[in-house]
Amino acid sequence: MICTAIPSRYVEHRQSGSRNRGRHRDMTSNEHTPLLAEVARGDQDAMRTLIKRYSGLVWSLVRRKIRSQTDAEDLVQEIFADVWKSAHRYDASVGSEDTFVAMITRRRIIDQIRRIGRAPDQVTLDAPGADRACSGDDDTIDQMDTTPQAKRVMRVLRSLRPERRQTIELAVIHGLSHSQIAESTGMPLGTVKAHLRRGLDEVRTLLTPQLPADSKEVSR
Amino acid sequence: MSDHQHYELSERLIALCADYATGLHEQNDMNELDRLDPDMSAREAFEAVAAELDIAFAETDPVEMPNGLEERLLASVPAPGVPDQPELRLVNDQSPPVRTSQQLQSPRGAWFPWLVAAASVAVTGIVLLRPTPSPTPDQPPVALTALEQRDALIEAHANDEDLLRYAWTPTEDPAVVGEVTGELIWDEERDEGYMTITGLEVNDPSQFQYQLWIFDATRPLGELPQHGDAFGGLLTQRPIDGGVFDITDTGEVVIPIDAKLLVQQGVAFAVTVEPPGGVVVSDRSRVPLLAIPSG
Repeated sequence: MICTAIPSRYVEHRQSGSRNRGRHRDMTSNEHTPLLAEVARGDQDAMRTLIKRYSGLVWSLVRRKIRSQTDAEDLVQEIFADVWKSAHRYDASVGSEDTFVAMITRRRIIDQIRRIGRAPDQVTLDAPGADRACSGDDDTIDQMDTTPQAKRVMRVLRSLRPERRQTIELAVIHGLSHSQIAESTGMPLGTVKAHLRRGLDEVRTLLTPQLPADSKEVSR
Repeated sequence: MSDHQHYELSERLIALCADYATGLHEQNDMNELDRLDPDMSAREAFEAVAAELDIAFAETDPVEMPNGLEERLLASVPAPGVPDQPELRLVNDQSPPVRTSQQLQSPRGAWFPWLVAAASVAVTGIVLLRPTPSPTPDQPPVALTALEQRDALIEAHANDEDLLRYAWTPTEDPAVVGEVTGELIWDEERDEGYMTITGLEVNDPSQFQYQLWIFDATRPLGELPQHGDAFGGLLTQRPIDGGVFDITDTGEVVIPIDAKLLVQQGVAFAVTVEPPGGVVVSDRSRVPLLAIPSG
């Protein structure tokens, strides 16, 4: 049984509003202005600002997993249409807007991958900065041009066993299937599944702040 | 920190949630996942973790956007005055039931154990994708039928000529099994439309499904030149997915159009026969129906 709890970022969000997303954000926009509530009310200007703020992030997520540039461009447009339609579901008191956008993005990517098939079996790990962050020390991560939360996530990922880190990168970041990961890494299929599942849960646990002394655990 | 709630998940639920969050789940496992995670809170917690990992990598190694993409995205935002939330599409809305944050987070009652878990996960962003309470919660949601929605759209345009209405043009495709009647209506401002169809073969969704494609005059032509100059070269265009649907009755059926992209200038529509679930890019080898401007 594994204990899980809230990633602290949501607490941070409630306290300090939206986080700076570094290079993925339009630095000329109002970086701390929440947008989704305005988008949900049909504010076209807010939607345009949201597109400027998150289009780089959405594109990066999509392009890493969708082989065809044309399909990727269409999918990005679908994702923002989905954000537009789903904005009324966002509750600013419980989470950050970028996570909301990224969750919608991931869902649409997964839908598309399951419809048209996965990326080629051979994956080029085209994220040298991330590799460097995962294998480097704290100074390496500190020097990266990313938000504090991204640094924290990288530190958590770096702390995992290499096999777990690798399966997470291939599955979550590159969108490979269990069998593709097994083929790429030479690990048995069952081992891949175990590393990925336990690794993801470990990340969740490690992103969680320490339990308050009197907190209660509940099983289900 | 005091509001943190902890709970334990079984190894099986962790496996199902991790597979779901990475898109590696088997359809056969979904019933079990729904049973173990009835409000989807656990699986969405894993989705949030996966999203956070994805964001961190994207920040570290962003992929440069192609020229013009952001401009095209910005241009696709509806003009002022266009209704933004397609609430009339309730019939096809697959969203989970509406729950309020208050329901999720109240740690009271005999259902305490699950509620505590649900509440903790709710704070992790689980309700990020959930419907929030309606501004008028006393009014029960009204699920209009597709026919009622269609009639409402026609009624809304009773005094203007802004509703596009196209009769069907059948082809010799074997899916055309009778006299084709009906029409396609499309409201460009609302990005909403409906098809009424008779004369198409009732399909077994496990064998094949129908898919609507919308040809938008603002999109480039010439990507599928094998379709030549038919209909002014329109069918060479890369169209917008208008949704997968089934013909369930030999009589007239009414089907809402589910455009996956904003349609800026829909000038023609085509129904194709596709494998179950539809396709991203149709080869248009079977096109039983077209809806194109007359003349």
